[in-house]
Amino acid sequence: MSELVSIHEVSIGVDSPIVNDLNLTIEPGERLGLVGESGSGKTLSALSLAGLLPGNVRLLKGVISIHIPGNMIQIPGATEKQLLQLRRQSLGFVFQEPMSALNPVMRCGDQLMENLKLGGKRSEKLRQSEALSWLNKVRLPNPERVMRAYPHELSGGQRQRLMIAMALCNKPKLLIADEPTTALDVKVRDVVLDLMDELCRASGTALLLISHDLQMVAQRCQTIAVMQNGICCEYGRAEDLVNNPKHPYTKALWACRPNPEHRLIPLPTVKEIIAGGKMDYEQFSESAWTLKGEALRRHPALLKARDVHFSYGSTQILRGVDFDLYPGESLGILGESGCGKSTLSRIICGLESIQKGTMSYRDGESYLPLEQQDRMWRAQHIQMIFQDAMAALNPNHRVGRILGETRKHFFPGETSADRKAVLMAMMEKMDLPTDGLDRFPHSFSGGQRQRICIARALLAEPRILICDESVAALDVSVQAQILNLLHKIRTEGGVSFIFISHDPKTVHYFCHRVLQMEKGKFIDHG
Amino acid sequence: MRKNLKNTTYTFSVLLGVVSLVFFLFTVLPGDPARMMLDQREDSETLEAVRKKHGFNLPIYQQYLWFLNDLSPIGWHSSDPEHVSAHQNRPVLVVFYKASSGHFLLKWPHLRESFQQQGQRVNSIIGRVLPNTIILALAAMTLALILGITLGVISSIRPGSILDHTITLVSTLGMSVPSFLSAIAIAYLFGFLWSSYTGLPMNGTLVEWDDWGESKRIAWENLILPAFTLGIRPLAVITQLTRSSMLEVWQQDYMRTARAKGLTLRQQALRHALPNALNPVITSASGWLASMLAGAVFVEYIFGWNGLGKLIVEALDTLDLPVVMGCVLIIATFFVFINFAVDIIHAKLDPRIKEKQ
Repeated sequence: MSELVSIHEVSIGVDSPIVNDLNLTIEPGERLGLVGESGSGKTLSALSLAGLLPGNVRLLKGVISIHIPGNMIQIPGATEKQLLQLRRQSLGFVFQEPMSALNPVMRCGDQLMENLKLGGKRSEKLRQSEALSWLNKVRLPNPERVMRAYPHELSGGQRQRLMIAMALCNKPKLLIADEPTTALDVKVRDVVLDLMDELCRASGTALLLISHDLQMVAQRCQTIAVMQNGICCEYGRAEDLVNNPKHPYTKALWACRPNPEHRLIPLPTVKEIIAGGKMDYEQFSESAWTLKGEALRRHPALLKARDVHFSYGSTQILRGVDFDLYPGESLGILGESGCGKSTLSRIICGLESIQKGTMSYRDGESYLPLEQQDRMWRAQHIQMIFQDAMAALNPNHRVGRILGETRKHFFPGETSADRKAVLMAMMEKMDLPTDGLDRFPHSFSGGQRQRICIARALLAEPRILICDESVAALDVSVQAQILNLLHKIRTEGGVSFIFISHDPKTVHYFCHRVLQMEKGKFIDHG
Repeated sequence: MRKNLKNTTYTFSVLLGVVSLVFFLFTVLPGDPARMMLDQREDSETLEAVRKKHGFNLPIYQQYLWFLNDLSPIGWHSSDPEHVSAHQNRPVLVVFYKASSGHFLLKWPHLRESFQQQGQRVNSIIGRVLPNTIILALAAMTLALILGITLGVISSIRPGSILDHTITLVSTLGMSVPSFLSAIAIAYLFGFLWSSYTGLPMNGTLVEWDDWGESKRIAWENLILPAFTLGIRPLAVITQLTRSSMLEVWQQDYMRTARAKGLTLRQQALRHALPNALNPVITSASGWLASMLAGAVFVEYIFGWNGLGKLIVEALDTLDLPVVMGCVLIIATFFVFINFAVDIIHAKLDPRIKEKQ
């Protein structure tokens, strides 16, 4: 018995396979990374280990064998009792969304103690003390309070620590972490991953780390499997995958990440790299990029914000924000969640009214205070693209109606034939199928939906486009496509960007100038 | 604290609104109350005396104020037995202050006297039937909640299975049968046709005289059929609501966590899914309970159950306005307090709600 888990020729799917002929092994104490974009089947592969496949998704063929002390469990073939025992004692799970992965109406302590009980701790007192010691081990501040708290009273990072405690408290043989830090702030990510690493090492627990982030996985794991469309296309030691990726898809995953030190515009996309075709990428050196930004700033500013304050009740969200936005410029705003960047964007486009300070917009020679403009004027000049494209589109309206509505609103004089032509041209420009106008948002992919949102914003013919985490929820390959599209819009001219994100790489890659926001203020002008 | 104050003000203004609406609605209705009380006797002197005693000769606004004074638990009442607000006729609890002209007292809200039943107090008329109605409503609701939640949980565990389809079909049927039909059918089948097996009577109220007319006894067996009949529709609704609410909860991420922990299906359903699924069920159940407390006219009629619904219908039939008014006020109070209770239950079930308030 050498390996802990062996996955042999496994296919998973409903009728046709979603995961195809997967072969993986995990040694005791090994750290294996499973990398792939959404829909590549990495989560299903992980769930199949515990017999947790959802709905009517089944193991179509192959065998998973898991060696646990004194026993070997084989799926398919394991009894329900064996599976329960496997989940209780030998496997630990940490899921992506710390917000929703904990039962909202059950106290944190009770949820943790439930795990301990399932792990065989019979005495209530013992469970209690053990739970407290685990909360200490995952370094949650004030464990006594956390025991009694409900999940919504903890921050995202704290919840994920609790999940880790729940997953590890029965000393499992394997910890399965499915995108454990994707939903967390950049700063918290490393801390949580370090903690997970440390605890796994301490107890000799093997780790299966699932992520779309190849770089993060490469730093943490000894072996990596890259999955694309349900097929494991490369499987090997982490160093080899980093230094010498063999499969074009692995190469593409490395290349399509926005990288400010190696600024390629447009970004190579996965499709292009796999096709082998070389596009004409323009590489900007840091100095050339700075020069370009400075040239833009020679013109008078388009939007001036001075000493902007905002508070919800007694909580101060913005405490004196100043910035200028120049025509054609892309201004990045970088900050953690809760720093006030989204509130600022809502104020700029008029969804919240400014409480103190001024925001003025250049009109010809003079500056007009924004709050004196009517809603219609503001909405036309300043448009916004949100993070969650699915939530931003009305699921009951056809795309043609969603887009047409904007156009009709701002250009009421247009005849319907003209409008139709404008919409068709826009669909083409956004690289969306032309029959898409008659379809509903749910029939599009995530990237296409975000393009619909961009199209909707552009149809108003705005001067300022605010992108609030617009690429944060997208896979790297789609992210590259959207960034390229935004760049294309930028080069056509006439639009200034305010690009808001928590991801420094993307912001520095895309923007001429980046402002860092912390606790409602810009801390450094660069 | 501020929330409590707000709630109290809200409750108070709802009740005041109902009282005023009911009062003015009934003053514009045709009919001479004095004449109704005197059983059509055309004796102008007696008529005048009755008018004076009950204040029917006063201007409307004065009548309204005396009416409020009667309803308010704290009020001033004249010591003159001929006065509109004579304290002699009031259900007094504590006298705060005694003066020669009148008393300032704490009392039960006084709903005045029935027009029809020889001047009986409405308080005692309602008092006789109210326990029956409350017991019937609570029994029906308990039945509906226990059975409905159980069936809903069972059918949500394997959606699309034969069991689920059966439960959904039966509950749809239960929802669509009107209560007068089911009442007759159930009374006939279980109370008459198969009564030798079930041992249940076709009709009867809660408190009955025994066969010799010597002593009263509580006849619990009379409760079974009406409670069941009354419970059918809420049972069906609660089953379906629980089912759909549970189905939604099963999809949540935390249920995946519960599965991954190694909980059995039963533990997942009862410990993790159900508490998250209950809130819409409680909302709907509270509405049903409130309307059942308002009396279930058909069911009470058919089973001869002496309840509020039957009383209202009879009072309306005979234009016995004080009784109708009293019933309406009681019902409004039920609604307000059930709303109150539901808020508390919601906050108990879901700690996030407390945060928002």
